[in-house]
Amino acid sequence: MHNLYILATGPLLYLSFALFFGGMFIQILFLVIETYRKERFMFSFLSLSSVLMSVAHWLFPFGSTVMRREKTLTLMGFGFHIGLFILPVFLFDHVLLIYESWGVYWLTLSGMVPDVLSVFVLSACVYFLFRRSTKPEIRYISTPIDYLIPLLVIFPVATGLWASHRLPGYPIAHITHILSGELLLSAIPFTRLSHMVLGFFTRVYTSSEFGRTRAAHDW
Amino acid sequence: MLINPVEDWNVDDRQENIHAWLGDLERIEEIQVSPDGDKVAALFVSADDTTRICVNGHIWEHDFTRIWYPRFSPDNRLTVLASDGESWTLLVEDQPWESRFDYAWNTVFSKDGKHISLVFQNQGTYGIALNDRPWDTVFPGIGHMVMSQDGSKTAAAVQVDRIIEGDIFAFQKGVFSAALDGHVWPQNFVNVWDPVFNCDGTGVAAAVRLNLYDYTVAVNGIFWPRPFECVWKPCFQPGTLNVVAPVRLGQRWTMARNGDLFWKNTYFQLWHPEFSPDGSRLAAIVAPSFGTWSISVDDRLWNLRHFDAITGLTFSPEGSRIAAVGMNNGKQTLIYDETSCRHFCDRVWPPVFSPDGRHLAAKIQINGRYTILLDGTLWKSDYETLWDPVFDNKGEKLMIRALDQGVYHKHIVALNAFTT
Amino acid sequence: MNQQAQITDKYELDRGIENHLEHLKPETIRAEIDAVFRSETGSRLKAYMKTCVHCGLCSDACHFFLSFDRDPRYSPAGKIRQTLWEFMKNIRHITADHIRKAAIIAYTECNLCRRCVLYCPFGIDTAYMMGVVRRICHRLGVTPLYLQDTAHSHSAFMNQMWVKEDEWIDTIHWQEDDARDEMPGLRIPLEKQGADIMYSVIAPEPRFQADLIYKAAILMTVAGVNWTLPATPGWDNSDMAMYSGDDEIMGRITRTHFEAAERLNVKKIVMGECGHAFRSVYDTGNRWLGWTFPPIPVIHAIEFYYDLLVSGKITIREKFKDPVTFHDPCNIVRGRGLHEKARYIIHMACENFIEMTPNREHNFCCGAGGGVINCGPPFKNKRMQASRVKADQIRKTGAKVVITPCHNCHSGIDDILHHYKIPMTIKFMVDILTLTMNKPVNGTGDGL
Repeated sequence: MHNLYILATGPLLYLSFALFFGGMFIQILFLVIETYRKERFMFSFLSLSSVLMSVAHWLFPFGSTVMRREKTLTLMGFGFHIGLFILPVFLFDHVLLIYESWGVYWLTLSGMVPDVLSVFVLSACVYFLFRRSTKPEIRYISTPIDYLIPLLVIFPVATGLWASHRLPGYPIAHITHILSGELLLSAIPFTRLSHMVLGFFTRVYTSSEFGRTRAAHDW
Repeated sequence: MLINPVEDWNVDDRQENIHAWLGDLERIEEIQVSPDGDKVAALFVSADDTTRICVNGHIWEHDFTRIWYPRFSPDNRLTVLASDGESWTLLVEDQPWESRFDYAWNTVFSKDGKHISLVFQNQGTYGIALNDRPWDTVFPGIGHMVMSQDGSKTAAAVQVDRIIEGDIFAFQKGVFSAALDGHVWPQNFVNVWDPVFNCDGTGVAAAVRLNLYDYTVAVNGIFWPRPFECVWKPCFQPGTLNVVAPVRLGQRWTMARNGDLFWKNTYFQLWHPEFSPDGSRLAAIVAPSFGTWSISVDDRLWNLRHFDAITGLTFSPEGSRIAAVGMNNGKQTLIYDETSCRHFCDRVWPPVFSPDGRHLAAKIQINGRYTILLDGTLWKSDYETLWDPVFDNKGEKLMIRALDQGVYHKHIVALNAFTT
Repeated sequence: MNQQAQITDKYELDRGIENHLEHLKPETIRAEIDAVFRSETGSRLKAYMKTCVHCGLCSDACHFFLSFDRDPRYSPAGKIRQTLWEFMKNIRHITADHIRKAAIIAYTECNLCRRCVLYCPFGIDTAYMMGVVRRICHRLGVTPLYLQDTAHSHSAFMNQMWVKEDEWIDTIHWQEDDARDEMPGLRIPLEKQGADIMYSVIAPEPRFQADLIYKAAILMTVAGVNWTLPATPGWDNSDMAMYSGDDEIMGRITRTHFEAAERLNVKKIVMGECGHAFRSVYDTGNRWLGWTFPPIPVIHAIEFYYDLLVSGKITIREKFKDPVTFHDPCNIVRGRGLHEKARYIIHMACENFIEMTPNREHNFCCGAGGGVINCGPPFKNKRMQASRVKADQIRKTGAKVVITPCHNCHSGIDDILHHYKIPMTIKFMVDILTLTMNKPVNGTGDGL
C-alpha cells in the first residue's frame, strides 16, 4: 500500500503532469502550425475586441442567450466547471503537498467550501449523465466515451470527499483518489476533455469572425 | 509604328460649352470624348423620353427609338448602338450599318480603330459581325468576344449545341467550344472562357474545363494534356505561339507555359499575366500569401507587398517599366518601378506611359474631384470630369481632356508645366 | 419515429444525386474524402470535431430539428454525426449509400444559416462543416440536379439563370421604359464608366422580378445617385456554386463580379436585396481569391437605403399603414449585422411594426437559404415541413405584410405563406420605400 502511494505521488504524478501538459502543448503546437500552413487566412480575421466581448458573454453565467434558456444546465455547468478548476488547485491538502515538494503555496479553500463544491460537481456529473441518457437529441450523438467522461470526474471527486472525511476505508479511497485524479488529468489531451483548451481556440476564431467580419453578436 | 490619335499638338485650350447645347434638350446623360480630344458627344434625353446623340453641338440626323453605348473608335469615329423598335444596328458617324439584328451589343474596335465588331442575336441564335459582315455560322449561345489586334478576325466562346435548362448530363458532356470567324473548334468542352488571339491573329487560346474538375488551356482547339485544379485567362507570348496561363495546383497558383509548369514559385493567387511588348518579360498580379498583393515579374516578387488588391497592370511601350494601381484600406495609389506613389486617392485609373516609357500619367480622383498625376506630381487644376491623359509621340506633351461647369476643355500642356 | 419524419424519409429521387452514385466505387469515395481532408481542410475542422462535447445545445437552434418534432437526426450535431463523423471514423467503409445520405443532409437539411453557432458554447461552425460535406459531394459528382444546373449556368454565363447578355440588356431597357411611365426622363445608365456606384442584382430579377430593377432605378434617380449597371457578365452577384461545393466556379463568379466593377472603376458596389450573394462576395468568394475583404467596397441594399434615409437623399411622404413584420435574413444579419439599420428603415417607412420572436441574430432561417430552395421540387415538401417553426413565428405576429430584404427568404417565405395558409403578403424593402417615399413628378438624374 505504501509503495503504491509512493508510486502514485511520485512517478505517476509526474507522468500525468507530463501527459497533460505535454499532450496539450503538442496539440496546440500542431493546431497552430497546421493552421499557419493550411489556413493562414484565419489569422487575418482575428480581432481582440470581438474576442473579449464574446468571451465576456460566454464566461459569465447567463451571459449568452442559450444559457438564459437552459437555466439548470447553466447552473450545473458553471458550478461543475468552477468546482473542477478550484478544487484541485486550491484544496488545502493539494497546496500542502505542493509546498512540501517545491516550497511554494497559495490561497487555500477553507471550511465547508470544498465539500460544497465537491457535492456540486458530483451532482452536476449525475445531472449530465441523466441529461445525456434521457434527451433523445443528446443520446443520438453520444458515444460510450461520452458516458465515461463524467465517471472519470466522479471518481477523484467522490473518493477525495470520502478520504477527506476519513470515512471507513479511507486509505483505499485516498489512493484511488490520487490514481483517478491522475487518470483524469492524463485523459484530457486524448479525449473531448481537451475542449478545456481547444474551446478557447474555436471561440477566438468564431467571435473574431462574428464581431469583426460580420458585425454581429455570437452570444 | 505608334498610333497617336492626336494630329495637332499645338492647341493650347480648345473649349466646347456643353451647357449651351442644352436649349430645349432636357438632360445630358453621358458624355464621351474622342481620343484626339476634338469631339465631344453626349446622349441626352428629351422631354418626350427619346434619347438622341449630339456631337460638338450637332444632333445626329438618324432618328432611333433607343440609342445607347456611345463609344469613340481609336480613329475618332463615334459609334452608337441603335434600335428602331424592331431591330438593332450600329451607327458609325451617324451612318447605320446595313445589317439589322434582333439584338446587337458590345462594340469592339481594332487597335487602329479601322475595324469594328459587335455581338448579335437573331431569332435566338448568336454570332459576331465584323465591319457590318455577320458571321456565316450562328450559335445557340456566345460570350467573351475578342478581336485580333489588326482587326481582321474575331473569336468567341460559343455554345455549340442547344440544351434544355436542367439537363445537367448533356451539359457535362460538353456543349461549349470556341469559334474563330464563325469556324468552331472540332472539340467541345464543358466550359470555354477568355479566348485570346496571338499578335498576328493566327492563333486562339482559351481557358477550358474538360469536366467539372479538370481545367486546362486549349490552343487552336487542342488542349494541354495536363489538367489543373483551375486556370485563368491565358496569354500569348508576342512574336511566338507560346501560351502562358496561371494554373492552380495543390491549392496554390503558378504559371504554366505550353502545358508545363513555367514558374517555380507558387502563389495564393496569380492572374492577369502580361508580356512586355517585345515578349521578353512576363509580369502578373499575384498574392504571395492570403490578403497580401504584389506584382511578380518573371517569377520575381516586387519588394512592394502590402496591398489589399492590385489592378491595371501595364507595361511601358518599350517594355522596361511596369505600373499598376494598388489598393489599401479603401484608398488607391499608383505603383510603379517597385515603389508606391505618395498620393493616396479615392480612385486611380489604369496608368498611361509615354511612348518612350520615361513618363507615367494617370487620371485620378481626390476628394471627389478629378486630376492628372504625372510622374508622382499632381496637375495644378482639378475637374468635375476627366478622361485618360494622352502623351504625344515624343513624350514632351500631354493632352488633358476635362469637363468643368458644363464646359469641355482640351488642354495640351508641356510636361514641364507640372513641375513649374 | 414521429410521423413527420417518416414523410421526409420518402425521398423523391433526385437524378443529380442518383445518377452518379451508380458509378461510384468505394476507392473513389475514399480518395476524394481523403483529398478534401488532406488538402482542403485543416486544424479548424479537427478542432471543431474534437471540441464538440456532444452537449446537444445546438439542437434547439435548428428549425429542422424543431419543425420535425425534435427528431435527433435533424439537430446540427446529429447531422454532423451522420456525415463527417462517419467520414472521419470509417473512411474505409463509406459506401455510395452513405454519400447519398450525406448529400441529402448537407444540401437539403441544413440551410448553413449559422444560427446554431450562436448556441454552441465553443462557437463551433456547423455551417462550415456542412460546407465540407458539400465539397466532398461535389467532388464525387453527387449534387442535387437543380442546384447543379444553377452552378452550370453560373459557369457558362456567369449568372444563375441562363440569362444571355442580350436578355439582360433588353430587360434593363424594358425596365427603363416601364419606369418612365412613373418618372418621365428616367434613365438606367448601363456601362457608365467612373460612376460612383455599380448596382448588381441576382439573375431572378431580370428573369422573374424585373420590377425590382425599375424600383431600384426610381430610388437611385430620386436620390440623385451617380450609378451604373454593367452590360457584361458580372452584373449577377449571386453564387450557387458556393453552395454546391464548386469552389473553383465560386471564385470565378466573384472575380467576374469585382472585375466588372473594376472595369467601370466605381467607388463601391451596392447589391440588391439578396443575402447569399452578399455572403459570397463579402465573406466566401473573395477569400478563395485571396482578398481579405472585397477589393471594391460592397454594401448591401439595406445599408444603402439606410444611408440614403439618414442623409436625407430620400424622404418618406407617407408611412405604410398596414401592420408589418420583419424577417432578418441570416446572411446579412448573422452575416453582417444589418438588423438595426433594417429596423431604422422600417420605423421610418412603416406606421405599425411588429417584431417576430426571436429576432435579429436569433431569428429563424426561412428554410430556403443555403441553396436549399435551389435543390428544387424534389425537396420542396421537406422544406415546407422544416419551416413549421418559421410559419408559427410569422403567424404569431398578426401582421399583414412580411418584409425581408433577401431573395431566397422572399421565395421561401412566399412558399411558407401559401403552404401554411397564412393570410399575409411579402415585400422587399424597396417595395415599401418606393411606395412611401417622396418622388418628384419629373425624373432628375445627376445629369453630368
